[in-house]
Amino acid sequence: MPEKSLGLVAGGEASNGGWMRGVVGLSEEGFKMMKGICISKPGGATSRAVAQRLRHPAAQSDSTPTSSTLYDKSSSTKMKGLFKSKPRTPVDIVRQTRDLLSFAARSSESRESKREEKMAELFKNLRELKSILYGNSESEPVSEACAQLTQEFFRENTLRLLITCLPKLNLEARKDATQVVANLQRQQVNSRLIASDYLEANLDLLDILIAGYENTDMALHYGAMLRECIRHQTVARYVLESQHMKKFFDYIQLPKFDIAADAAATFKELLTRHKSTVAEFLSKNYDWFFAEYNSKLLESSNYITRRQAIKLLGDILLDRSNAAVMTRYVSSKDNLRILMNLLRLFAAKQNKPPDIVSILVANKSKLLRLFADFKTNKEDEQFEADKAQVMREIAALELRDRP
Amino acid sequence: MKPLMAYEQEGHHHHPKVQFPLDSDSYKIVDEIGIGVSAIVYKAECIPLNSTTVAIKSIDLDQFKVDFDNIRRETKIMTLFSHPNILNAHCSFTVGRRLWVVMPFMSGGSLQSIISSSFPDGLSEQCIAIVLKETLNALSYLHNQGHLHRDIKAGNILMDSNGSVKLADFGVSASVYESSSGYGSGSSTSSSPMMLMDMTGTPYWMAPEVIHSHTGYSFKADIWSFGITALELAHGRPPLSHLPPSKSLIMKITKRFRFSDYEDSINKGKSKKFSKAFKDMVASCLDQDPSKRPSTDKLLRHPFFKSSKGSDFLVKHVLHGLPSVEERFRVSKILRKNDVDDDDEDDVEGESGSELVKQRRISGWNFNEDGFELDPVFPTESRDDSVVKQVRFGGETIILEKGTSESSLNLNSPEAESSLVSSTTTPPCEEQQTENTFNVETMVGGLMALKKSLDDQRQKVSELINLFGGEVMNKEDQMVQLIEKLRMELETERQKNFELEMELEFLKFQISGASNTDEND
Repeated sequence: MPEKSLGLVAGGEASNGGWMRGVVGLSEEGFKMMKGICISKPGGATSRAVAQRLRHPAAQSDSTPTSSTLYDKSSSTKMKGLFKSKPRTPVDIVRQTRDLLSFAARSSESRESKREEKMAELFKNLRELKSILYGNSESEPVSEACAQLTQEFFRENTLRLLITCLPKLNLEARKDATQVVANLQRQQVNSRLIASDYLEANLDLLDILIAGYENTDMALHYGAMLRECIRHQTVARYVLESQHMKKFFDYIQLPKFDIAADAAATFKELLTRHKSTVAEFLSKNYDWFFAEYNSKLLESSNYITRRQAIKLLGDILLDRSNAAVMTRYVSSKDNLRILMNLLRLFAAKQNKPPDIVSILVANKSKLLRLFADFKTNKEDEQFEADKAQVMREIAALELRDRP
Repeated sequence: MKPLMAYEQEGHHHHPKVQFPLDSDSYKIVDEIGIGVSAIVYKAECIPLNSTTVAIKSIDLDQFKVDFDNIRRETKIMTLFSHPNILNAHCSFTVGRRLWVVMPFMSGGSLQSIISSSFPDGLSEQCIAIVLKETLNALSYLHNQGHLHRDIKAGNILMDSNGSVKLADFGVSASVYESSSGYGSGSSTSSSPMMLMDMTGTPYWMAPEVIHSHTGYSFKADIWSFGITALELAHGRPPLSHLPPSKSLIMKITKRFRFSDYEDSINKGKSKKFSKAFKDMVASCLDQDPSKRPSTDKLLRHPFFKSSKGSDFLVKHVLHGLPSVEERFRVSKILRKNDVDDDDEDDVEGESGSELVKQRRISGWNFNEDGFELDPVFPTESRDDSVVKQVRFGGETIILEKGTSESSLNLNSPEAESSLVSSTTTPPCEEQQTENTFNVETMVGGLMALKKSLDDQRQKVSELINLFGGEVMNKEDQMVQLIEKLRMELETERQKNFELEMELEFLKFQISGASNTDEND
């Protein structure tokens, strides 16, 4: 029980502490000392009430009795670290965050003297928004507070400000902001996902998020936001049909593994989440998409890319909503040749990845029949030879793996 | 490969961030310092950066599911988490079929390796306080970020040459923010947020609620493991480790763990004296009721950590005279080599190795009423010989860690190091070696078998639980099995359905092809 309130406040401290360390360049020891001081500083009754209000923002009213009652009910934990004395509602916090973001957006690095102070305030607000949306270790989120927050957030351009200012935040604040944005995509206000409405009217924000993959520092933050945003079908459709789609073929092969893997996860989500949209996209964009898919992914020099691509291709083609696309895909000799080469590669490998083996074994009869029935119009010896080899290997696999 | 951008300033970070090169040619492997089931850890030099020493964990990606979700999560955490007590990655990139994670080289290695090499009876309380406090700082940061580590143990706590301590290995860590999709939708879902359900970790260190709770677990599970780690540091190994892993689970579920039991049963004769503060701190972590365990922030204020010394103290009292990580690994390799040689005659190759090992080790179960314990019967050894017990621990730990390590690779401190059975104080005698028989091949084979026989083990565990009359657990088990069975059936049906559809599509395709040809004619 006591842990919860600590989580909230200590979280704020960690954020501020991290920021101070970064900006002021405090030594590690100094940082610890400061942290220690914060921890042992007992909070006054006012700050306790504030904290309580933040944790139960639904019980909003300007009379203190409500909050103090709530406080008494809650644990005896000492609150600390909150220096503000004026209770703020979720709406207040969103508004203040928006003001601070506007400030951050227009101020340059060193011009204004109060910048550091204001940035610290901004980071604290972001941490508070996160606490309201996710709850903390002691209390679950209050839906009414979440709804108020969400409504205020999307009433104006807070999301745009947050996304464009993200590079100006420190690491901890970026992570908090990312989690806030992610959570907001799922918040319903009057049973409407207003985040979806907002994004639909501001689709250019997606351009910023996608371009994030080209920026090492921002990629993982923007990438995580992007994956949450494409939960909305209209947003996913926009991304699929945009010119950005082509860039993913490069993003998922970026040299930094963490970024490439993030892009791959987004790519997969785009091509598997919204069935009807995906089917429509694939049939409309069949030619260029599979040309790219084959040449850049299935025939990539990167083993991991090939492995991921063949798995995803399976997921896409074998989805019943994509039956027409599948039929079209397997009726192409070129496609089959590429797949056969991959099969030859995987089937002949000594230590086959388990997922490949299971796919091969599960589909062996189908594969064998498909290849047996597949005939080319004109003589093509190489094709026939490749085919024969793959069929032999799949058949052998069948023998080996039979119980 | 992108050209190297050394010492490039990163935008808004206020300290210069060194960019490590993303190609394997820029690194020179110096030595192997650890080996696990799916990864090897090397000591290496980054040539373009003044031959900076680094540790490289080379992961065999073929052993992972193709979405690499676990690995992606781990590398992401190691990029985005920034705390002096958390091991970060410099960078990660693929090299053929392997992923290279380049990390700072922690020259002291893991606490587990330090203990098994030079402190078989555990560290002094002062040293423990420092190590635990630093670990707690890391844990506090993680928890405030909404993350659980889920595999806290001495093997995942690393020390550098200056005595600094870092928490490593996020292979099985999880975010409570990402675990539940029902967040904040206004309607509260049946499984409450901030709770995880899947069983993950390393058995001896696992909290009871992780093992059997149906309501899920959260941050307090890490606190339990932290308590176990405290005991591990104090005694040289985790409690109950003289029992095979599955029984350690049962014990934890059925019995409240007490400090005194541990001292009585394990440190007979030369029992160590621990301060009241230490005992109190550990006891609070090992409360069966997760809600009664303290949070990280509360623990940090515990008197036990009040007067804890600085990292210099660790340099003087732990690192001084300690063999290097490389040496320790070499010794462990030699020990293993000997084991392999000894093993040759009685090892059946290719068979389910772990069961083989198990069978050879334990010939039956004794129920010890007085101690409320299940004691394994070992065929060839005297049962109250503490040396033998220790050896037994070494062997069992290997099985255990490898068994659980598919997705939880130790960074810098691979499982193999745990095979170092107090080599400095008790040179391996013949009995020990025959007792401690295993080799890598057998291990891998065994693990594969172990994986397959998980259901089997589950069955056995439920039987044992029945012995205790623990029917609740059994019902739960049955439910799990039933669900699994139904899921399999569903999957089969789905597969059949799909095959039929495929056939239909195929026929359609052929028909349309035929009619097209007709038209053309």
